[in-house]
Amino acid sequence: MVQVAQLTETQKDELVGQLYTTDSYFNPIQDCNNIWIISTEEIEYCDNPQFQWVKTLTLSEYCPKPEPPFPPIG
Amino acid sequence: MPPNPYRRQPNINDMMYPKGSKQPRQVWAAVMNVYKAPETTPQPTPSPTGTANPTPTPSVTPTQTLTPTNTGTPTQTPTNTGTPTQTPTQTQTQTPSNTPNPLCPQQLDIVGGPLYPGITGTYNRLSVAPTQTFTSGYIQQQGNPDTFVFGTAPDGKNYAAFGYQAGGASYMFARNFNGASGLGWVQYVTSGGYLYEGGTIAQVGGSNTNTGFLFDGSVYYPATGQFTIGAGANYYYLSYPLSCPTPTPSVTQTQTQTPTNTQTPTQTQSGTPQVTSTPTQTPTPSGVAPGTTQAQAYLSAVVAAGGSVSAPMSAATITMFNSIWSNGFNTNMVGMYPFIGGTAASHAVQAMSPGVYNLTFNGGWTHNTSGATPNGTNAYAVLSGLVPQAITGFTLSGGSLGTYCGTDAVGGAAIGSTDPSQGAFNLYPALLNPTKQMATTFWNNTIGAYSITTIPDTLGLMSIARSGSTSTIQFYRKGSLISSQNHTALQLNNISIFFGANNQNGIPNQYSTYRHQFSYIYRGTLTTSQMTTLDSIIQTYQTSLGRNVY
Repeated sequence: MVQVAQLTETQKDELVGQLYTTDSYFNPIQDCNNIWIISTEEIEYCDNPQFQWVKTLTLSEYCPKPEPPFPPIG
Repeated sequence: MPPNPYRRQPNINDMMYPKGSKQPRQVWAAVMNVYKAPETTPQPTPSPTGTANPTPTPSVTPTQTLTPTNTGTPTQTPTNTGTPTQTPTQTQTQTPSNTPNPLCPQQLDIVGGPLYPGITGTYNRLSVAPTQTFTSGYIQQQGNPDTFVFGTAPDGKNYAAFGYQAGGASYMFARNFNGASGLGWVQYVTSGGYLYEGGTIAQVGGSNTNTGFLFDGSVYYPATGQFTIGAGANYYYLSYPLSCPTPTPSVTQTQTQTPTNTQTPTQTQSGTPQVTSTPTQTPTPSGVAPGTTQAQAYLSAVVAAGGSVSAPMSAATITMFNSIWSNGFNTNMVGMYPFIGGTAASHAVQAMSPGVYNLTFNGGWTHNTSGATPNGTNAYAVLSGLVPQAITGFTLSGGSLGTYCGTDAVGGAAIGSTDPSQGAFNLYPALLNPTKQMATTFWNNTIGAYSITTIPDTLGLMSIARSGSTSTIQFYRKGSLISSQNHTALQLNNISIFFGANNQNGIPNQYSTYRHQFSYIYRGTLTTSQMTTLDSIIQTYQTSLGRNVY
């Protein structure tokens, strides 16, 4: 069971384009309910003092969006 | 409070519109009040003067009433006048004191101000990158970070790029695109070299509402004329110099070892020509084993990035490079990622030419001495600037990609770059069809290809290749050919490559959990024998590092 942390729209905007550690950028994505989330790795490895608040986020089970199907074989 | 080292460099948008203020769309862009030159009437190109030192830019004299030298009607009225009907002739403008060239392919001047002084300067034509020369290119906003793409732009035009370097910064003036949407001319300020040299973006400014250009019959150039950046009296003027310099090479070829591939077409039973390559090695005069110098450059970059490299690791890496070179793989190895050092920054280093096509990690990755593992949820890495269509040497009948996977998994792309309307360059180590099979849509995303042969796991080197044919594709596992399937190549794709996920026209999807321990992008044909050799080199390397998985 994959755990993720949900974000508000404002929190998402704050993280987009920002480093959580050296050479690693936050990548908020939307889950199956269009709620913004980040991963536990981004939280665990976040050593950017500006974003330590991510460590206080509550974790919940991840519901991924359906992926586009692999193209049919010829 | 000390400065925050993680904070992104402010761009023009940030400076113009502080956080919390209301921003109109595309406010980071300049508004360029130039006329659109007729495409069908090329301007006469002045005769080169033959001097390598161009005449200094004529001084400019700001006045209150000067009119730009072009006679086109500006399409936008500066917003700082307060009167919508006021024309530019009633506002402050910049104009050179001498009549410039209508077009100089090698150099342009931008003068004006007062804000953003880095915008102004003499820009020289850019044509030499670390891995290739080029006559045209453009900046693609898709992906993270933005990248410089060599060759023809999405609108089918070839745009010249210009730049200059000063004070440790690189200033580039080039055409800008967001996917297929043209955004006009833009200026990028980077540190550590130009975008195509792996430079880090420090500031973006430009004119993405401008579509003005000049055309010399083959290449499109920025239009001359006045433009503004942001609000206020920030007027600039673009012109071509009175004295147009001739092109001069800016780099010296220093490679001491030159493998030469002898191409030998042979006829197969199906009548499809197969091309085999026989590398002919030229001995290195210094006596140093081929590849050693490059290995040392890579190891230095890993250490500089904060990676940990022990003496055995260093020796193993040099041996691996020597094997890559002695077997002639270096000639067509576009990107090679050994993932050593244990940190994101050291794993990001591209080994063939550190700084070029380095990785940018996004989302949840785990980095350690075993390699780099994406989480399968939101992790991907951008191979900055590595776009197959822009790489010389890629053909519809050639190319290969592979990953030495440190974990067994199913689903998602280890490597992925897909344009729904064009080609694709991707590696799915295992999908269910309904058994566990390798898959790809290599050079043709309209049809999928499975290995059909079931694989027990995804451990070791998983590779896909097109070996001299546009109608078949080969699936390799641990260096052995597991199947060859019919799959027609249609088109090289024009999308940056991702690791850990697929780049679906700029949007990551098909996230995966395959641990990357060694990944490569190859632009030539690889025979079955060569693939076996390459696998042996990589497996030996992993064993020497103590992280082989079989």
